Amino acid sequence: MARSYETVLIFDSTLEESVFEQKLGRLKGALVDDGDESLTVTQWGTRKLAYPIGKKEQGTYVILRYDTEPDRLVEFERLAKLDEQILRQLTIVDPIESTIVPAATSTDEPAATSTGEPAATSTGEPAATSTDEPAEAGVEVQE
Amino acid sequence: MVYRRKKTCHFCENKVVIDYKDQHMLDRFTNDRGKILPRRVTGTCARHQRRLATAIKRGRFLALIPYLPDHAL
Repeated sequence: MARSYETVLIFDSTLEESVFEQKLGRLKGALVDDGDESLTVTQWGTRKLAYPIGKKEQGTYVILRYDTEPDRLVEFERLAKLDEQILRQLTIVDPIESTIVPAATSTDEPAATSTGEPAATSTGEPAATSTDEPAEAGVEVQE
Repeated sequence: MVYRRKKTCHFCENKVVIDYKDQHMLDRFTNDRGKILPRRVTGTCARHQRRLATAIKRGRFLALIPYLPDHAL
């Protein structure tokens, strides 16, 4: 039975555009059939990594959301793991509806291009806009 | 006498869904050494603290937030 998944891939930012597209296309092909409407691709663009991964300071983030069969997912993860240009991959099951598109912290692309359904790329996010600081204990001292 | 304002769970109160991709939210619940803040400090409820911890660990793995501050590397 197909389940919904979300995968975050971090590609080496030095990859050429054509090679990147080719690799992404191959991975997408492993996951879903051509023209499957469940697949949504969100690209965050190139961002600075919080810490270097394999001496790389920057990575290109791609988020895939899709419905697929578990055995196809296994093949997808095998392919992604074998690819040395993919710095990280994380797949989660039954993802929440999310519209997070963080600003690209560096370089060229301004984050967020989507192929497939355009709904996944808006930037409105209540969590990011709230202002109160939970870390502040809010202690009031009275005599 | 010391009166402490009752802390409330940020996620329950604002109906915020915890997302591991929300870097700014994850940042708010970690200290300057990258450690997860305890619910004693933030007022987060137990259910959301569990989800938050998972989200922070995912965020670290994806290099959205650091495991350690820069100066410790």
